Amino acid sequence: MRYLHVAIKNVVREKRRSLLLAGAIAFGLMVIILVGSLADGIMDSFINHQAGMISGHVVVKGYSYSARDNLISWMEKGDPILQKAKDFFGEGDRINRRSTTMGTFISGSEARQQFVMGIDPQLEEDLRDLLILEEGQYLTDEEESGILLSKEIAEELGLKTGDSVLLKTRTLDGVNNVGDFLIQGIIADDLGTVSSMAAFVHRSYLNEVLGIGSEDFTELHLFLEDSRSTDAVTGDFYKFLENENVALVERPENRQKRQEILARLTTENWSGIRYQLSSLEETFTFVYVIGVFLNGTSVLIMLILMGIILVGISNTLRMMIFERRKEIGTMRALGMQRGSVVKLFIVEMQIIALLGVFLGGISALLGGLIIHSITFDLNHTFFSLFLYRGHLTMSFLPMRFVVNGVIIMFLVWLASLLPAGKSAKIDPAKAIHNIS
Amino acid sequence: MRRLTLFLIAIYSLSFILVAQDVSENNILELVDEKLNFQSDFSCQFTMVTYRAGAEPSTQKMSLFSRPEEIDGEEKFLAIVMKPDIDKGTGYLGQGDNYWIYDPESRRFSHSSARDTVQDSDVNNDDLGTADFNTDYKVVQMTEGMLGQIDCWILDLVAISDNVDYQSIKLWVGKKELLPYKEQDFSLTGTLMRTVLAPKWTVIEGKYIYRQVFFVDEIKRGNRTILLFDNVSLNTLPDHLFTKAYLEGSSR
Repeated sequence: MRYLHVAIKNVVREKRRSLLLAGAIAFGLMVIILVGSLADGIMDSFINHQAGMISGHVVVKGYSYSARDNLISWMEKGDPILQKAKDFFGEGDRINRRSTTMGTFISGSEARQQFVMGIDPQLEEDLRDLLILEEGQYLTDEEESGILLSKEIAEELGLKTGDSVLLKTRTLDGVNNVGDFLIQGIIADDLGTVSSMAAFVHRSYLNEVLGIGSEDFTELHLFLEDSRSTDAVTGDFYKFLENENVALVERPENRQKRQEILARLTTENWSGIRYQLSSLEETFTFVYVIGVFLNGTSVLIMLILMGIILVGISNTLRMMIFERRKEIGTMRALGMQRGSVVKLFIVEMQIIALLGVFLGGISALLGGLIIHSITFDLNHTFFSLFLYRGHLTMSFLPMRFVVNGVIIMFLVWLASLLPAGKSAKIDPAKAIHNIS
Repeated sequence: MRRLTLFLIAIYSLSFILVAQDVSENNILELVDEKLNFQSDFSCQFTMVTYRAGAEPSTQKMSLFSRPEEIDGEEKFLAIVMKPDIDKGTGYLGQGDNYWIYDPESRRFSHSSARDTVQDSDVNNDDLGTADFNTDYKVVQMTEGMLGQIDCWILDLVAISDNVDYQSIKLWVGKKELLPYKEQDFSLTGTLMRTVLAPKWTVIEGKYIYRQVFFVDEIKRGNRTILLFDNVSLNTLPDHLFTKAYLEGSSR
């Protein structure tokens, strides 16, 4: 405690220097936290919105040959894959049955092609939270032919809530079909490109248009509690199904291979149903590459800043020791041990480092709030994929602050060791007479 | 009307009087197919005018060659765009169930399907094949009626095969020649999707051949396509015509 008391007094005595040093540490920590939080925030934003809107973290398709000999993804109400998924995934993970198709929405003489997703509105509460409606309401059970259409498409077709729109598509087996939908809500374009990627309808009604049973589905979308490890979880689920002797479509090494595997599927002789598993990471590899790049950049920035901090601390401490040679000499002459001198300087630097870490944490938080408050008008551009309602999302993890803070404290300790050690070796007689 | 390659033809029936006498729900589709399908090669030039809402109509001239299944064991057709210059050389090749589109600019073939449309018109690749009403549909109702001045059988057809584009069809068949003058195509949910009209026919070498066909998109208002046929011939065509190599060579 007595070291601490003396160290605090020394830190306070050299207010300006202490604050500058703590400020440098704070700045370094702030940048490290901000870059890391931004990288994670961008990835989280993409994973959660992208997956929530048009995909799952893990997607299962069940391929079989239709009566017309077309390769289609179609699973019936009681498909065994449902139970297998329930057996494998945890309580916190969600399993959603969805049906999808590509079709053309037609209103009068206007037409627009669109991806259509059939969902169970009451079971997809998360989607309700994710979708921001410009007008109208979320899908209700009372209106089975209800549809949520994006603002972009509604404007293009000149439609508003309450209007009817035709969907021209084909049944799973390729027969021409038309669905008549009633617009229940218009999806705002707050989520940029993602907002206009799909139209949402009741699965049972879309199934009618697709010519399959109302409880059937074309895809199984799995949403994980821990959405950061979609590829690993998909791999584990694949192995689980393999052990359960479920017929599977080979997992590809990359996206291009997936197309080759699917093409090969049509030439091989097989029957029954074969399940294909794909992770969000696999489907949107480019986004994950960007994530890896951002994280790599944050690590690089961290290393550079840590190096600067290390050198800065070491030099400042040398200067401090030089200026306080007489003081050290006097303390040593009064009987202070070498070890105690080392400890004193180390504690002093740790106090400054702690102050820096504290300030760094606060400034990172404030900086994050400022960055988050900026609105980017990037709707309908590629970059909108990484924004949430026009804002950059920061993912502040307490653990990131703690880990980086501890690393900085350790580095400061490391940087202090050598100069503090040297200070202990100063000859008291020479130091008192200011002889170097 | 479906399947216009071999199609454009209705065999001139020497025995149409007899057919008219024997026609019933059970045999009328077979008789119509016989009228539309023939046993020889076929070639023609046709002009396709496509109307799209809010846009100027686009006109394309194409050469068309076809061969029925009976000759080589599989049905074949080849169509090449002659005009406009920007699309010149674009080709469509059909061999059995396989369809390819040739792009002269990239010099590449891409696989197509029977359901894909020809040059963004209202005509499908499948419309350029042989007529097979009898295989794909059954008559659920047969009534009599007039189509303008033409005395017709009006047939309500429902698909019995999985290999169809439309779940149900309404067909107006002229009583006299047993030629289909009008066809309405319905979706699985019963929505009228397309109307095809064949008001004008010509007789060449004793066979009936379409001269003009209208395809009207009943879903998207204002979309329609008109086909006009010219230089029709039933002469035998060389084998190398129905190959990718011919398509590549013809665009150079």
